[in-house]
Amino acid sequence: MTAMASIPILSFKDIDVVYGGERGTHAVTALKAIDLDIREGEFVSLIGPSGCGKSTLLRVAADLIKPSAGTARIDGLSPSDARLNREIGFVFQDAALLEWRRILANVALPLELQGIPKDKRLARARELLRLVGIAEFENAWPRQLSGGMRQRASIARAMSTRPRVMMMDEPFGALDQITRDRLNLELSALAEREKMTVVFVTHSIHEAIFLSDRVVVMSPRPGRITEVIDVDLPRPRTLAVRETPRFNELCRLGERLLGEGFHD
Amino acid sequence: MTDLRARLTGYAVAAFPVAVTTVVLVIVWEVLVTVTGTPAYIIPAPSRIWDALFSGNANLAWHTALTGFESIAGFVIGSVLGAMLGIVFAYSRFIARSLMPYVIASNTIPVVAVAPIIMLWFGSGLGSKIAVTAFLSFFPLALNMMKGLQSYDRTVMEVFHVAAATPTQRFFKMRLPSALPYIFVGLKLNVTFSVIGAIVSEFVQADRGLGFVIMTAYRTLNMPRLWAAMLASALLGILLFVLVAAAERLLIPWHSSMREAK
Ligand SMILES: Nc1ncnc2c1ncn2[C@@H]1O[C@H](COP(=O)(O)OP(=O)(O)O)[C@@H](O)[C@H]1O
Ligand SMILES: [Mg+2]
Repeated sequence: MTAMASIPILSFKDIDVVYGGERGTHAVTALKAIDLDIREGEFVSLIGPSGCGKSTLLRVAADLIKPSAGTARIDGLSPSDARLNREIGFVFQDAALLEWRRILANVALPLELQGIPKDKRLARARELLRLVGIAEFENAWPRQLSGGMRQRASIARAMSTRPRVMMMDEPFGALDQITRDRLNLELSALAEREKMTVVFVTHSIHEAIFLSDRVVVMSPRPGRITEVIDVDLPRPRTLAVRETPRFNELCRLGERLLGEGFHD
Repeated sequence: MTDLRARLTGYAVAAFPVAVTTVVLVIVWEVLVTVTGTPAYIIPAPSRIWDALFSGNANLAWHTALTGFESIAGFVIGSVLGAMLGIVFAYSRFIARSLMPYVIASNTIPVVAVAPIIMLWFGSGLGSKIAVTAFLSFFPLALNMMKGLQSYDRTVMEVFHVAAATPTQRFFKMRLPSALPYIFVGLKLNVTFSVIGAIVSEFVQADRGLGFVIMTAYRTLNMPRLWAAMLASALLGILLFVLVAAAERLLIPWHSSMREAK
C-alpha cells in the first residue's frame, strides 16, 4: 500500500445515531461511538445481527440520515456535499428499479439527473450493462427480469456516476443461494477490476469473508463495532477459495465473534 | 406488422362472445316483442329503435355529437382542475386536510341539485352544460392524483435522493410516473361521469343534446326515440371510455406488457 492509499476515502468519527425520543417516544440508540476508516479501493463488509445499526451506518455515509453526533467524511467532504457531487453509489436490498423505464434508461437515470447528454449517458449505461452481464436486456422492462438480473441492473445504476464509494445494503439478501454465489463471484471481480471502494452489509459471514479485505463485526443495543477481521486471502478470488483452510478458519473466527457480541 | 395482426386477432377473439350474445339478444327481443304484441311504449322492438336512431326532425347523431362535445370539454376542464388540486393536496398536508372535507362534501351533493345553480351562474348556453360536466368529472381525479403521487416506492425515493435529484426531477421522473395508474383510474371515472353530467344538465334546461331528446321523447311518449337516445348515450359513454383506456395502454406500456405476459 502506498502512502496515498492509506488516506481514508471514507471515515466515521465518533458517530452516534439516536432514533426517536422526541415528543415522548421511546429513543433507540442505533449507533454509539462508531470509528471506522475505509481506504480507497478497499472492500469492507459490515456484519452483525439484525438491528445492530449496519443500515444506519450506510445511511449516515449516504446522507440519508444525519448522525446525532460525530462526523462522517467522504474524500474530505461531508456526506451531503459528497452526495451532491455524486460521489456516492447506493445499492439497496430491493433493486428499486423504475417500473416505467426500460433497463437501459434505469441504469442511465443518475446520469440523466446529473444532466449528462443523452448519447453519452446511454453509451455509459450500455457499457455498464455489459460489465454486469445483462447487455441483452437493455430493452426489457424491470418486471420481466429475475431478482438477480434486477439487482445487476441496480448495481450498474449505482456505478453509473463513477462514485468514489459504493454502499451496498444486503444487495443479495433476497436472492437464492445459487444466484447469490454467482453474483458474489462477479462482484468480487468487478470491484477489483473497477477499483471500487465498497461498504457491503450482509448477514452471511461466508459472503463477507469471500468478498472483503476487512470484515467489521458489530453488535446491537447500542450498535457498536466489536471486532475487525483482516481477510488475508489472495486475490483474485474464485469459488475455490472457499475450500481453503484459511477461508474456513476466518469463517469460524467470524462466527465466534458474532456469537460473543450477541447475547439475547 | 405480425404484432399488429396478432393484436387485432386478439381483440377479435376477445370481442367474439359479446358480439354473439348481442346478435342473439336482438333476435330474441325482436321475435318476442312481435309474437307477444307488446306495445312500443312498454318495450319497443329493436327494429323500431333502429328506425328512430335515424329519423326525427333532427338526426340523433347531431344531438349525440353535441352531448359528446359537452362531455369532452367538461371532462378536460374538470380533469385539469382536479389534477391540479390533487397535486396541491399531495404536496401540502395542511391544505389537503383543510379542503378535503369540502371536496368530499361537494361530491356527495346530487348533481340534479347542483346543476340548476350552475345553470343560473353560467347561463343557458353550452357553457353551463360544460360547467356541470366539469363539476362532476373533477373529484375522482383530484383524489386519485393525490393518492397516486403519494404511492411512490420509499426506496426509489432514496435512489433519487442519493442521485441528488432536484424536486422538479423527483416530480416528473418519479412521482408523476408512479401516479399514472392511479391517474387513469381517476380519468376513467371522470369520463363516465362526464357523459352523465352532460345529459343531466340538458335535462334541467336545454333545447338540444341527448338529455333534451330523452326529455321530449318521454313527454311525447315516443318510446322508440327514448330507447334510441338511451342507446346513443351508452355508445357515447363507451366510446369515450375506450379512448381513455387506449391512452392508458399507450402511456403505461410497462403495465400493458405485464397484462400481456399473464
Ligand atoms: N427510521 C427509524 N426509526 C426508528 N428506529 C429505527 C429506524 N431505523 C432503524 N431503527 C432502529 O435502529 C436500530 C438499527 O437499525 P438498522 O440500522 O436498520 O439495523 P441493521 O441494518 O443492522 O439491521 C434498530 O433497533 C432499529 O429498530
Ligand atoms: Mg439493515
